[in-house]
Amino acid sequence: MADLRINLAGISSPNPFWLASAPPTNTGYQVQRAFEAGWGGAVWKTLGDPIINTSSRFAAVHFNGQRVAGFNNIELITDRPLEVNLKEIYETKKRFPNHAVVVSLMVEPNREKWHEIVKKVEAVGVDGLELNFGCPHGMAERGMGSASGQQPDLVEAQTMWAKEAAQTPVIVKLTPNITDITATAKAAVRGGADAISLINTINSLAGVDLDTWNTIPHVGGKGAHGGYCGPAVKPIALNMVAECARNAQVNVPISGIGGVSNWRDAVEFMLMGATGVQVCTAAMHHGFSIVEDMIDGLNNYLDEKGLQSVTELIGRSVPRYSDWGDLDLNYHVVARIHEENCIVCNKCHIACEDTSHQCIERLTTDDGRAYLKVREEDCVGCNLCSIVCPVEDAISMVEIPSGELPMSWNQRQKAIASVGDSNEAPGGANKEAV
Amino acid sequence: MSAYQEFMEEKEKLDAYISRQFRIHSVVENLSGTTIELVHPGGESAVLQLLSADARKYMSNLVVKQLASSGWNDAG
Repeated sequence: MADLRINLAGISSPNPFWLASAPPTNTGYQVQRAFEAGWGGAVWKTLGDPIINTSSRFAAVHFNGQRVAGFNNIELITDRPLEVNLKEIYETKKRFPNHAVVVSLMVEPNREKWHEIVKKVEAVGVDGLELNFGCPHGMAERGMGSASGQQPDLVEAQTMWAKEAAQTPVIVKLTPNITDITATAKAAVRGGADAISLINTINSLAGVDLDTWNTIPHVGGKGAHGGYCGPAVKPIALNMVAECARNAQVNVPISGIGGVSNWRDAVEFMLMGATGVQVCTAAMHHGFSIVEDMIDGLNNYLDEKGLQSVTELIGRSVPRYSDWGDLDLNYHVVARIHEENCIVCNKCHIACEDTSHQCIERLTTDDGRAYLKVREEDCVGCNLCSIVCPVEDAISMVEIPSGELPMSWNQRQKAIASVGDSNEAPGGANKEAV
Repeated sequence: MSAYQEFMEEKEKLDAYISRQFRIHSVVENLSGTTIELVHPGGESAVLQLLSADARKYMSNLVVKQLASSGWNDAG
């Protein structure tokens, strides 16, 4: 059995599965039950200036039979008094000394405010702090959350203010509602962040009711944008984590957040540079007990891979993530249909014919049996047929060696620019158009 | 015509020049594709317009090889 312990910027936990700052970490009762279930850490629901929540807060996007493919919320930070939260944080840490208890914080962009809350929270014995610069709704209208998290100068300043007072590691939680997340990640590092966590939720409107024309959710007939999370956002989160992980100026540990629903997702985030992950939507959908499968699955995976520690996963795929211009243009794959598995549903033919490169032919044998065949020389290797194919192992993408050395677009452009330099002038030769 | 056939036709034209010792002298890219000027050591030259993406990639590989043979280093 592999060692699942992690250490994120000095914050240690028995496994990499933490609950994210959100409704599941609202109270000591919840966090302690989560630890009993097996979660390695929890980021306490954000503490900060007093708020009042609306009724009707959550909405979900169900897609093709999958419940909660995406999740939308307009709930704000904690609505409970600071002292109540601090008492429960103290009790929780005392009962679970080996678990990571991190507290999320959000106050106005004011130095004294940050000093005050950092000192009060650290006084009860927490393992670390997470600065919430990401919540996109409600608090942002008051200049906090993503409103300040979208401005690198404010991220840097607030991180610095928190660090001035902090004795424990400071994690800066970033908003994805920005063009380039590495801009704010670098600002957090400049401000002294010990780690970053990402992503917070994405600005969203879950839907509109076709009968009433109300937004989903609505509060008495009126709606406002919320924050989107859940499985649907995982690819966005994974890219942002990877972009930070491969940026030399973002040289702090990363806590990965965004659609993590099972151990496989966690492994992906860790391979792309996260030291651990935070989970919310999956726990809200299925309960705290899902962590049991996460731990078992991760353990089995590490054993199969022959890894002694989960930390051996961290960042292993980062060197494989690059810019488009550095990809090898001479790498070539083509689709190959395995007739023995193909049910001749025609999905690949339609997809290729209508929306890709028209290289899958529907043919008929002499005895009238229909079959599908790829004209490999015309296949560009787009993968679409294998994506739409409903049968496992009916279409595989096969590499066709080009016989050429790897050549990226950037290398090509450099070569094209150099070609004239490497030749002597044509010397007035006659030109023949071909 | 299939994209592959388009590529093969353009490749054959290019290969014909290369087999006659022509070298790619200049490459100009525009909205239609790539215009290349080929020059023979004897002074003769020709212009070839490559339209297909695969032909332009093929030509790029030839350019890289041509440059490498003259000591060009893409890291430089």
